[in-house]
Amino acid sequence: MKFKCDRDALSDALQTVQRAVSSRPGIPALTGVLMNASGEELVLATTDLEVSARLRLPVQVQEEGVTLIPARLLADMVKSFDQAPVEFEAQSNQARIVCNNYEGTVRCLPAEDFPALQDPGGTRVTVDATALAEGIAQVARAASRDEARPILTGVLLEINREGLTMVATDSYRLAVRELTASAEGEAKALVPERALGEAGRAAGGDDKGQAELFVDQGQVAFRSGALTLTSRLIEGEFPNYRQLLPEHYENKLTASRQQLLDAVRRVGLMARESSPVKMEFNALGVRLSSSSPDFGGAIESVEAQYEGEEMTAAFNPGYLVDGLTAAVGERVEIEVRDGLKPAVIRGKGESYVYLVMPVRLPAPVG
Amino acid sequence: MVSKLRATTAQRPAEPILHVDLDAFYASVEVLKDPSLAGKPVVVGSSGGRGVVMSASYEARARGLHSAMPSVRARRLCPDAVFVPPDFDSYRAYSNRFREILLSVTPVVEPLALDEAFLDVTGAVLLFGEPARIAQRVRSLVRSELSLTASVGGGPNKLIAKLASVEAKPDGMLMVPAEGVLQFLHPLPAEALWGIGEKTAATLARLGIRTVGELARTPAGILERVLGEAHAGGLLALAAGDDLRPVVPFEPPKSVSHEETYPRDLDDPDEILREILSLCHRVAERLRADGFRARTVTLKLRLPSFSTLTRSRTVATPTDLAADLFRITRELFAALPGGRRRFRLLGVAATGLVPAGSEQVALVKEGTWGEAERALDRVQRRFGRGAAVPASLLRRPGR
Repeated sequence: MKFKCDRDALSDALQTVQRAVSSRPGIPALTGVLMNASGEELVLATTDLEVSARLRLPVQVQEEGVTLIPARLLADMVKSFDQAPVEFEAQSNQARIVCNNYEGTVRCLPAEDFPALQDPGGTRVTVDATALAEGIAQVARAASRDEARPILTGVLLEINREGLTMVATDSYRLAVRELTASAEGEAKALVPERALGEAGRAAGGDDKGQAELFVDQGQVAFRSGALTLTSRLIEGEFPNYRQLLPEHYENKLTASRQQLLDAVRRVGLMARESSPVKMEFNALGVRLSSSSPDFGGAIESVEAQYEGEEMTAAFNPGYLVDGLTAAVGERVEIEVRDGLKPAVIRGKGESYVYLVMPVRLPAPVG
Repeated sequence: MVSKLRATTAQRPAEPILHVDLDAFYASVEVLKDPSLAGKPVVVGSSGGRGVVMSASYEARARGLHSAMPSVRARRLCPDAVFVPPDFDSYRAYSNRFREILLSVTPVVEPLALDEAFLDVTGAVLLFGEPARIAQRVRSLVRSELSLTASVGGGPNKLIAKLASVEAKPDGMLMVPAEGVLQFLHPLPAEALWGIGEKTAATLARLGIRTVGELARTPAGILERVLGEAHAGGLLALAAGDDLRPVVPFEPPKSVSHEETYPRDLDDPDEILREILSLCHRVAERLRADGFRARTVTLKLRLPSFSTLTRSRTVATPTDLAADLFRITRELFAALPGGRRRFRLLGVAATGLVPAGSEQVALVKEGTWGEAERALDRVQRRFGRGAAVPASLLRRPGR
C-alpha cells in the first residue's frame, strides 16, 4: 500500500479519528488506526469498541492496500511535520513515512485483529449540523458522570416526524432541546454522552451543512461531511422526563442572561464546599448571596423584571452556570415555584428548557 | 475612630462575666407541666431499681435529696417524693427559649448544659448598663417569659462567676467585684475549684489544706510534689482567682449518644436489635435536630459483670439517618465474638460530627429513607414522641 497526500489534511484527519482510540491498551489492535487506500481515497478507522470513527480523505493512491498503524504515534509524527507532501508506504509489517528530509519507520499492528465496523443503518434523520452541535452542547452537560448510574450517563435521542429531541439528566438537573429535523420514522436511542460530545465537536465549527443520524438496534451512527461516528447504545429505560417538566409557574424572572451569568459566577466563588448560592426574588430583581464559614461570603443584586411572589431558593452555582450558559439569546427567563421545586431556565424561543433542582437549606437550629 | 475605641475600652466593666443557671431545672419544668406538683418534693428520674435522681425540687433537696443519688436511697430518705420520668423534649423546648433570652442580651453566650450558660457582657454594657443590671434583666425575663427562676453569678472571669452563682442559689444573684475576689474565694472549700475531685481533695486534706485560701498560701514546690507540676500550677492560679478562659459563644457538640440500662438483662438477639434500632432512631433524631451528620458510629454493650464492650466503625459519607446507623450497628453486633450473651446496658454513639449543611434535592428520587425519617421528625414534633415509630418498634415489651 502506498499513497501521497497533504500534511495538513492528513494531520487533521488523524487528530479527529484518534479520539475514538482506546486509552486502555488491553487489545493492541484497538490502539491503532486502520488505513485503507483504494480508488482515490484513504479511509481511516479507529474504535474502542464503544465508539468508532471512520473518516474518508482524498489522497493520491499509488498502490491499494490496508494496514494498521499505532494511532497516537502516527498522529504525533504527522503533526510534527512542516507543511509539505507526505508519502506513506506500508509493506508486510512495517510502514515508511517520508516528509521533506525526514524518513521514519513504524512497525504495523496485526490488521486482522481490528474489529469489522458495521455500516450505519436504521432510521435516518437529517438535521442542520450547526444546530445539532449547539443542541448537543446545551444538553450533554446535564448528563451524569457517575458510572454507577449508567442510564443517566447517556443522552436520550427521541426521533419523530416533527424533529429530534435530546434529553439528559443527572437527577439534579434536566436539559431538553428540540431540533427541527426530517426523519424517516420514529426511534429512540440512549447514547453515551462521550460519543455524542464527539459528534457535536465534529458537527461544530464552520458551517458543515446537513448532518445525518442513523438510529439502529443497539447502535447509532452520526455522519457529518467525511466523518462517520458510530456508538453503541446504553441499554435501559430513561426516566420519563416529560413527567418531570412542570407546567408554567406563576413566578418569573426575566433578566439579561450575561449579567445574571456573570453575577452567579462571581457570587458562586464564595460558595465553597458544596454550599449553594441563595437567590432571593423580589420586585427589583434577584439578590444572590453565598457564604462559607471558613472563607467568607458574597452578595450581589441583579436588577431584573420579576413577576410573582417574593421567594427564596438556593442552587448549586455550577448547575446555574451550566443552564445560563446553555440558554441562548440576550434575555433569559427563570421560573420558580418554591425552595423545593425545580426552577426552569429558558432562553430565546421555546426549544430549550433547563430544569434545576434547588438545594434545601439547613433548618434553623433550635 | 481611635477616640471611639478608647471610649469603649474605658467603659469595659471589671466584672464582665455572668454565669446563669436555672434553678432545679427539670423538676421546675415538671411542676409547670403539672401545677398540682407545686410545693411537693419532686424528683425527675426513674424510680426503678437502677434509676438515679436527675433533678430534685428544692422541697426534695430540703429532705437531703440531690442529683445523681440512687433512686432507691432517695425513696428511703423521702418516701412521699413524687417521681417523674424525664421528658427531654420539654426540657429542650424550655432550654431553647432560655437561650433566646440570653442571646437577646449578648451574642457571646456559651451554653454549658440545657440549663446553664456563661455570658460575656463586655459589649452589652453599652446597651443595657452595668453587669448587675444585665443579670437582673436576665432573671426577670426568665421569670416573666418562662415562669422559672434563674440564679446569676457575676465576676471578672468564668471561675468566679460560676462559684458566685452557686452561692446565689436558689433564685438569687451575686456579683463579686474584682477587688473582692480573694475575700470571696478564699473561705470556700478547696473542692469548689475545678480540678479538685474527691481524690485530690483527700490528698490536700492530708496536707491540712481544706479551703481555697489555704491552698493559695501553700508553697508551689510542696503542691507540685504531691500533685504534679501542671496540676499544681493550674490549681494555684485558680486559687488566686485567675482564670483566663474566654467565653466561647458556640461549642459544637463532639458526639451524640443515647444509652439505656434495662430493668432486666437482655439476651434475645431480636430484642437486642430492636433496642439498638430504637437507640439509633434517638441518636439520628438528635443529629437532625442539631443539624449534624456523623462519620463514626459506636455500639456500646455492658455485660452483667459491668465490663463494657465498644465497637466502632467510620463511614465515608457522614449520615444523620437511623437506617444507616442501624445498618452499621447491626453489623457490629453480629461481628461480636461468642454466642448468646446477656447485656444490662446498650448504647449507640455518633461521633466525628460535621455540620449537615445544605442538601441538593433530586429530580428523580432514589433512597427515600431520609424523607421517611424527616417526616417522622415532623410528626413527633407535632404530636409528641412515639406518635409515629418504625413498625418493628411498635410492640416492644415493657414500653
